[in-house]
Amino acid sequence: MTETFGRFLYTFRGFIPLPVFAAAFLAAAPHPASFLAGTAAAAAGEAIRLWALTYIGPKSRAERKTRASRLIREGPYSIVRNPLYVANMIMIAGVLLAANRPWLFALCPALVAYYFLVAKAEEGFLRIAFPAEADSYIREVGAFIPALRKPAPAAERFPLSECIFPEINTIAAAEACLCAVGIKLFVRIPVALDFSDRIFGGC
Amino acid sequence: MESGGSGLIGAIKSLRPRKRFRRAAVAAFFILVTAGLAAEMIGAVALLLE
Repeated sequence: MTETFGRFLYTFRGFIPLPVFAAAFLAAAPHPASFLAGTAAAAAGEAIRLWALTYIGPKSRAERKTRASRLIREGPYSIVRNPLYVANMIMIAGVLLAANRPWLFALCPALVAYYFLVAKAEEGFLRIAFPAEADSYIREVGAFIPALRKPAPAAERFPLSECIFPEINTIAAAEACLCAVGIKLFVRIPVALDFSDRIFGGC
Repeated sequence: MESGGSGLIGAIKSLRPRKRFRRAAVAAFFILVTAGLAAEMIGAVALLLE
């Protein structure tokens, strides 16, 4: 049941964070410090994504269905099983931080639950596709909490230049979200979801 | 029709936006938001230093 729902969510994984971004834009009351800190966090998340993509290849990220020719256990995948989802969570946290409304972080458990379900669906796929390796990999490497160990080296990696172009959609989407939030630093836009508390700049 | 058969299907296929056009649109959007974000970051630093 969990896996079936996870598979359903996996198909639409690109669209699920959109309501969070919409809430962030509507509620945003950015402070210059929150905006810069949030942008830095989002950039760090994107850097992790690009690092992971050099191991799994640029095509895999756009797939609607889970499929892989071999189990990748090197680089970020030797530290955490879902580095792309961890990076997504960091990027989303960056946008929420830029929005400067602490209550927005109340949405985080829902996002974590969502990524947990998607990761569960992928686990099921790994167990079917790689029955010999999947169990030990799942046992040894955490799903979302990175292990404190040196990343395992890979025999070959995809060049970063090949990975950047297919990733432009994600980068542009994150930048657009940050731009939408950041514009409120300079232009007064009526806020639909106005609560007085802020992370930076007090009430 | 130039490509994609004849009749209505061919007409629809010929109207379908080219991949190159889509890529150019994405690239233009990317450049726009990158420039916008860079400008906002410079503005945020200026506000912080004010």
